Amino acid sequence: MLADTLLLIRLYWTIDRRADGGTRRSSKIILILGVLLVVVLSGALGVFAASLTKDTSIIRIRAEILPGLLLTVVLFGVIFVGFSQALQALYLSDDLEKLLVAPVRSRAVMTAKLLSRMPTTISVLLLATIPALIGFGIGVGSGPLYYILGVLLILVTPLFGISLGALIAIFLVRVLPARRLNEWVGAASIVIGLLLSLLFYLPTLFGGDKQALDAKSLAAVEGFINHIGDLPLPSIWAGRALVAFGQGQMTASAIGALITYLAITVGLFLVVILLADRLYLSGWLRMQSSGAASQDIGEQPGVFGRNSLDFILGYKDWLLRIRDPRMLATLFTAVIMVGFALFMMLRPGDDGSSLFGISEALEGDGVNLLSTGVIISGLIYFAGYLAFTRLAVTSLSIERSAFYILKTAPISASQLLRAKTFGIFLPYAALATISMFVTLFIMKFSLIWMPFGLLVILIMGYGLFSFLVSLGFLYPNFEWEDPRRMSNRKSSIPSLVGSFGYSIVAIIIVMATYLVANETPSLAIPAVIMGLALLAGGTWFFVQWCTNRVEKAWPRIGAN
Amino acid sequence: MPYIIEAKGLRKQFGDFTAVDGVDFNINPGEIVGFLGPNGAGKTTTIKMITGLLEPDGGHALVTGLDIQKEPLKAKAQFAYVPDTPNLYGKLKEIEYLRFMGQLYHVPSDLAEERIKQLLDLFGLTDKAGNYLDGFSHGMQQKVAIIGALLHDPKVILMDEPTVGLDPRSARLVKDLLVQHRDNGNAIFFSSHILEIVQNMCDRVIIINHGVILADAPVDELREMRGDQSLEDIFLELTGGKDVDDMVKELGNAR
Repeated sequence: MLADTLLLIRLYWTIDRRADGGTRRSSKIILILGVLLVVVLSGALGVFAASLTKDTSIIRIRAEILPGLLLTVVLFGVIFVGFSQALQALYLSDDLEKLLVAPVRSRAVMTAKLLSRMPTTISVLLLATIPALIGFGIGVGSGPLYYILGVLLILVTPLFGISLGALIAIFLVRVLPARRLNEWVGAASIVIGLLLSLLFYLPTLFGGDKQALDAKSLAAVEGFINHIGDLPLPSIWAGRALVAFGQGQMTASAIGALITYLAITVGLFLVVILLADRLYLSGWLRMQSSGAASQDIGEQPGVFGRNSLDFILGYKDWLLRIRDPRMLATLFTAVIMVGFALFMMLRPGDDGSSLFGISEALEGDGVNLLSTGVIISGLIYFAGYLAFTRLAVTSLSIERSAFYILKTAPISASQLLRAKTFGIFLPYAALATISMFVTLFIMKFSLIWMPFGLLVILIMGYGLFSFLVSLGFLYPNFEWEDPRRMSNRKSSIPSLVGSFGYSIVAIIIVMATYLVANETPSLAIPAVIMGLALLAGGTWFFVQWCTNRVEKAWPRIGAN
Repeated sequence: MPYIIEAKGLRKQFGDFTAVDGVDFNINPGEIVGFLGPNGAGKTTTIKMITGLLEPDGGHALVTGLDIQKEPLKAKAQFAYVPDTPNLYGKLKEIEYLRFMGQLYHVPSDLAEERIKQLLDLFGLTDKAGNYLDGFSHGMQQKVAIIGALLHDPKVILMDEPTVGLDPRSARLVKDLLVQHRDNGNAIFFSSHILEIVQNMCDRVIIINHGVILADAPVDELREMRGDQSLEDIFLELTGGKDVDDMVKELGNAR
């Protein structure tokens, strides 16, 4: 069995090394810079953590719990990553059928698959945590034993995470289909990322007495961290032992804690390898024969049978987005971020980040440059840009390997572009209209400019999304596996340049219209009509230009 | 009556490699034509140029007299294409996908519903109508792709390995449906490595190797010309695989 395991591990490492070898030089430079950034940030975090143990710190954390906390955070992260990696490696990789029918023990396959993932996880962990651990050690003046044992603990942590993650995966696959589970893991990671990023902003979400809030928050954070540090977790015990060794206190409890952690880690891996073998094999076999519950054909032709081709093309895209949990989570993230940004802008308050504050400041200075309604229009347009850009740019890539269906169908590039654009524009238009009415209700801005503002953001939205969808046609990516990597990186700079270029020209037209109408009220209506006509005409030419580019490129799209 | 497919001097180059080098052939109405060739011979590239998936570097492909590059919409309405790997929309339900295909090919809703029901019954897929396609096996997806291809009653169906992944009953059903489609005055053009199917089903075979057509004749005529050899022997002789027998014998002796 050992020979089989080693052979497979060598094979996977060779494959991984060759896959990395094909990376472009620019990507390698970005990777090196990213690694350096992580190392520096991690080290700084360690030094900062050490400062929290001093009496002069704004919050006071006990020194002996911080390395344990770091280990615990790493452990939970590794369990999540380990679960996802185990799911991929044990159930969803392409070579499983070949390996499981070959005269190789399934235990060897499982061990090799799990261990082959370790170097990547260990490298990432070492980079992200060792500088923090060293920074902390220097900050609190630890001895050499602290550093040696610290590295050892970090090195064995992936073994623990991958073992536990694999065990969870092995059990869950017996209940849920692996592919579906993998989609939900992807979705969960997106939502966790969102929640973590929102966590940083939470304290600023609520107004009121900032100083009192800060003091309360800090006390809460201090209590929370110290409470976590008291939890009966092996990683916390190991952290305590590490600090004790660093201070030269080689007590029996410290040695016991360290041995317990190492024994649990290695023991769990051995348990997984020895006991989960049959569970894994039977789960995999069950996966091969599982099928969905039967459902009958409906009598009605349904949405696909009743509506126009343009409509169902957009509808189909939305079904694909909503039914894949990973795409849904990305969508959810965008909506939450936009909602958060809008809330920050519209919340009551007189500071510079609130629209009320800006509006009041402008009025206070006697500046009547823009009505609040026009600012709101701009804000909604910008929020729409943030929320829908990714969807627009990937609206052809979403076809993935099924693109041939559209390419061989009697549908023109311009019709497809129009349908896909409407698929993005209509939800944008609906949300923009609702947002206008909601903000009108909340902020009570001038009604006179409301229709103008609404028409402007609808016209500009159509121009913007036509451009972005057309860019998605010119730079498609049909090779993606993970929906988060659906967009083609080549489209990012043209997307920014084109979007801002078009928006700036359109904003100049809108501002000029507003200024003329505001300065000479007798010319207000002709100015507004002229302004809108100019904006609509310009947008029409812009959309035609985008369509022409797509039509020219169409024969070559997906031709490889 | 115009040819259903006309390939005139089709040529395709990928860098320095010439995948298809001036291919000429015609497909008549009421014909099933097998397209044979070893791996990398240029079969799929040729089919992709005919269907408009690839732009030829030279020559023309005409479907019912319509140039696929100059009048793509009219030409594409005349055919259906089923690749060897049926990449469908995994997150659509079977019935949604088929209705979508009906709309894509402008089949009136009532007619589409009628055909979908008939074909689903025929392939034993009616009770899976509400299931997502990503839960289907390769063979089931292949069947759904074939149903989708038949919905608009195309003048010609182009297929890559049509029976791969199908169970014997479904494979037989597909063969019968294709023969029936041919008998209705339409044409079938498919590539396959299963020479037995080609020999039994096809009215004519076209053999390609290194991007060049080596033979284009009815199966019986080809066999007659080659001294009544089997299609397999003719294929191996034309594509340089005849030495396979000697190699196998040598391998046996070495053991």
